[in-house]
Amino acid sequence: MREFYQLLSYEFLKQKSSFIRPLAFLSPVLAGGLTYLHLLFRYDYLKGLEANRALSSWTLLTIQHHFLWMLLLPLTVTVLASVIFYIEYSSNNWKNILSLPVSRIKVYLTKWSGVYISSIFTVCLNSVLMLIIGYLLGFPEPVDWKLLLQYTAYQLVAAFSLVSFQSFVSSVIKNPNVSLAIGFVGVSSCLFFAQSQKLARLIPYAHMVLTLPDPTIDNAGLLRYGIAFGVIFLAIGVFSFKKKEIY
Amino acid sequence: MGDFIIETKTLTKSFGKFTAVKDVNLRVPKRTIYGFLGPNGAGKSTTIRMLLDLIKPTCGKVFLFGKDISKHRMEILRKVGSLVESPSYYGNLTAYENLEITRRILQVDRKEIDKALEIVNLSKWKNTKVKGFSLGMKQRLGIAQALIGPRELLILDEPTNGLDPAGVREIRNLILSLPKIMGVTVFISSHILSEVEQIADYVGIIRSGKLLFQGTLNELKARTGTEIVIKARPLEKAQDFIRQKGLEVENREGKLYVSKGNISAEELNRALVLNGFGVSHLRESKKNLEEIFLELTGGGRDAGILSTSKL
Repeated sequence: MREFYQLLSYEFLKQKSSFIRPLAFLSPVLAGGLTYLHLLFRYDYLKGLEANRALSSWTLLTIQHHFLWMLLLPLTVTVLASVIFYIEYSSNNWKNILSLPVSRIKVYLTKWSGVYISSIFTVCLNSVLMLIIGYLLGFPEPVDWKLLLQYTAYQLVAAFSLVSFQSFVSSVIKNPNVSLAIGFVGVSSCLFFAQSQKLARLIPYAHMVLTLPDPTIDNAGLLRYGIAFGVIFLAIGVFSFKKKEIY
Repeated sequence: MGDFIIETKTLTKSFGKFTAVKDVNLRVPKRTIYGFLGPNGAGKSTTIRMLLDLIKPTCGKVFLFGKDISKHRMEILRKVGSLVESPSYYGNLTAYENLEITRRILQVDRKEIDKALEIVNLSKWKNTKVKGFSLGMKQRLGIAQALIGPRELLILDEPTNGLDPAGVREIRNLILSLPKIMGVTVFISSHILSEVEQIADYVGIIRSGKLLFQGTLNELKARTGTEIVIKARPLEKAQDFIRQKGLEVENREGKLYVSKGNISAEELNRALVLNGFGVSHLRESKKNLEEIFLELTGGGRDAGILSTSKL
């Protein structure tokens, strides 16, 4: 376990001065900023719509924010995974690390953890920013903690499956443009996948769409399939990395 | 097994129908500098990657320190420092931070970093980001990474690639000093004969994936036969005369090159003169290492060989 923590600590050392940290920080700030401006100018109009009248301000905020965030979060995860793995490809560092006495499984898990920890930071920062937006806009209702916590937890599950999938893709494909392209195509198609209940469950990119806590959305399916896919792709990634030939 | 720090048994690596390394049996004695020579594409880097367990052999075994790398990888790699082709580094980190990563993995004292930086003469730049380093500095940093910790074997794959003559000399002197300073065995690959000739005790010559020669430099030199070079008149008749004596003779640019059989230069000279030939030039010639090397590796057919000194 000590070896794993050491590997993890140097994983974060490597991220120093790279754009991984700004990316994990700026993506929720961008989404939060846009949602704030959107609601600052359109709150009364949105609240006045028939469909929204029964909704609390916090639910309205979550729904409006979700339209942007369900695309931006998977894009962020995709870029994080590609960049964190590309750090090793860029200067041929795989051969350096793997010719040291470290377990290949731990090296992969460290990379995976690096992507997931950054994603957790992004998701949590996003939730904090949603709280701040609610305070700034002066919502009349008290904070809907249950809603915000559920939304955060669902995102963490969706991120789990996507991080596992994108980490596997990024570890197999040397060219980061290819792994990014796969991610971008997946994210841009996720709304179409989400039209089908079966596809939404089976495609990690579409899991993000299912993170909005709502009775009409299959949140239970997300929990089951998100965790299952996360575990499966993590196992596939570990197995494939263990067998990977380093040239 | 105990005398060899590296030993491979019928090591083979195939990529589909192409066999990059075929039945290589390396034997590297302890505390020596072993030069692994061959033209570009001969299979040197593939062999080195198999030695470090970066790729799996199609068949055959690799034993380092007498142990099978596929079974004792962690234990073995702790004692092996390596630099495979181009140096690996994180450009956004300083030289010190780059070495700190290796140090943390090996769990050795921080002093090891300063020691390694001093050996490769990079102490002054330890707090400089590596992306600003010259190729020679990056190469030295790569060697420093290989030196950190309790290393007993250094595997350096073309460590002077891309360096200017001064850099080549610097790295060469550094490698020469390592067995004395640290008591390590050095396994160095190169396609430059002169480079290996100047530092290695043992050489292995590989071509098209096959190990053509393995032994000491003297053993390599001893493979050559001595030739007698003669300038005689009339040349063609002299050639026939020598051939009739059962010797192999070639006419190259107006000189006769006689493969030395059981006749001495003195005897041959006497025979020629007594039979009326005018001998104006006669000397014994030994093939130099470059000629032996070119002969073994297929001569000019492999354009990757650099047999002349870079310095």
